[in-house]
Amino acid sequence: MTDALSFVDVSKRYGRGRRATTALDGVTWSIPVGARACLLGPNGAGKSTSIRLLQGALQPTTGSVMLLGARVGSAAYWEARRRTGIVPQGPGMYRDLTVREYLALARRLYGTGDVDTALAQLGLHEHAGKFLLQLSGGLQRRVSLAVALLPAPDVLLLDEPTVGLDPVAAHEVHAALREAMAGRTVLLCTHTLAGAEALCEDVIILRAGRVLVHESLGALRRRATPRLMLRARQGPGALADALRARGLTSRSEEGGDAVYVALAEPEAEAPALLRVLLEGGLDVYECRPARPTLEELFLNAVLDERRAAAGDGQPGMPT
Amino acid sequence: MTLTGGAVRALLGKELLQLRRSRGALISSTLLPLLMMLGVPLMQVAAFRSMTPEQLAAGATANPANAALLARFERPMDLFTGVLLPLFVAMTGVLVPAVATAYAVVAERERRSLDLLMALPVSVADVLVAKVLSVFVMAVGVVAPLFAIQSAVLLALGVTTLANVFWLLVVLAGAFCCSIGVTFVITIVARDYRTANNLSGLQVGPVVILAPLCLLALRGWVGFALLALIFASIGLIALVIAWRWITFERYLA
Repeated sequence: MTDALSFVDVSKRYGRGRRATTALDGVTWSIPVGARACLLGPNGAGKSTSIRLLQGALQPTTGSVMLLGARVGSAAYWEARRRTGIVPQGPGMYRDLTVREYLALARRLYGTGDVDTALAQLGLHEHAGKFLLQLSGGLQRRVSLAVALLPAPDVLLLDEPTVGLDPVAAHEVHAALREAMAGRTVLLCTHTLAGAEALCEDVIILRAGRVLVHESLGALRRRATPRLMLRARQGPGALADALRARGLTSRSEEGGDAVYVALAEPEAEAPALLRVLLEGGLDVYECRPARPTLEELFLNAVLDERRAAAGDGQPGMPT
Repeated sequence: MTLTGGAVRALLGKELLQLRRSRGALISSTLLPLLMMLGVPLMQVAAFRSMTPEQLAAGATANPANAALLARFERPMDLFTGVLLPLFVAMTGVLVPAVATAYAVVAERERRSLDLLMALPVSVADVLVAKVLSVFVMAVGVVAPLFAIQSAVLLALGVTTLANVFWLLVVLAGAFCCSIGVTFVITIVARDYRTANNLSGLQVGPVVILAPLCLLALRGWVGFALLALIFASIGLIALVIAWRWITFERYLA
């Protein structure tokens, strides 16, 4: 399958000499046409730099960045760029441009699209005459999304589209995103892992400018150690003791009452284990195979890398 | 850097719309030239015309520097048309684009609205060229009518000649070029609006020194032409420096 987005051995350094900082360090990844990937990573991992490289605002120090087959900076790139919608990360808003004027500017620059359709699509018609700065955070983000969708793009680059929004506004933006992402190649850069999990199939985890993980969410889950989650009226301590007595290692959530135990086949082994625990006098009221969340997988990947860098430990069960 | 004509035109429209809506930038850009192009020169003309030769001689003898300066001119009014008037025109040409450039370039960075522009299919060259053009259009729009009124009044009073008006226009164009180039560099380097404005204002210092030196050293149109050439050269050099420096990295830093 053709790649819609690709980074080939890309490095990006800011500044020179001793004050130089490396945002990306020999990064290689690609996203095929039609795929929806999320770009995850702690602060400073290089997520926003990646987006800015794709949008042509930055030039890579080394390597090549490709958008829809066109190398960023080449003559063909701008044609590809007009087929790409971008939602920037919490941008500042114009106090002297109205929603309609901003959309009209985008319409002229993309050379395609219909302002009224875009306004209607995102429920912005009644706000069309307002200055951008007068809008609430959620509406401002919807304007950004309306502009990104105006040219009916093949690719969507979403840089933290819900950052700084209250839960209701974030929910609304997510709903709009779900609709907008259908049938398009999407790169979603986010800290909101629950949102990423709901919207994307592939994951790229960056850390300190390097690719830590790049695979599908399903494969990442399959690679994670299977677990069983248990809760008992007597509390996590008693549960952990009972499991230890049977030679099983468990972990509990910090401040929570759930206990996780690593099992090769949780679904097959759970009934027998549950019977033993109940017979042993523990009032187990919840027992189910635990599917690792993206947050757990993300934390696991980052922690595994830290352990590997420190030269101890081995990849293990999600925390 | 890629430059697209259609994108520049679209962005120019946006810049002009925003400049029109910015009361602060408009008031600063209009009041100052009103004073420099009409207020001060007309007061000076009135003063020179009402001054008797005796008063002039008394003023000259009271200060040896004045005497040396006045000795270079056949008539006192020649000092006004040959040095003071072009000085005020040059100062106007330097200050008006400086205020507007600082607004157009730094304000965008300060309010972080550049991210909104970067989300659209435009290059940094498109954005910055549109800003330069908008400042030029705005400066011409404000100063040209004032210059026309000033020239008409001075011609009607018999103070100046058509040739002098032409060379003043050349000086004004050179000062515009200088201001846009230098302010462009300043606004890219300056972190905030106040610093950009202060640094841009500093341009007036060299103008106050350079213009009289040039106009006193070479009398007549040669002095005017040299002054305009110096201004234009400084502006072009500054624009080349800005062009080589400018990337979104620096602009967004």
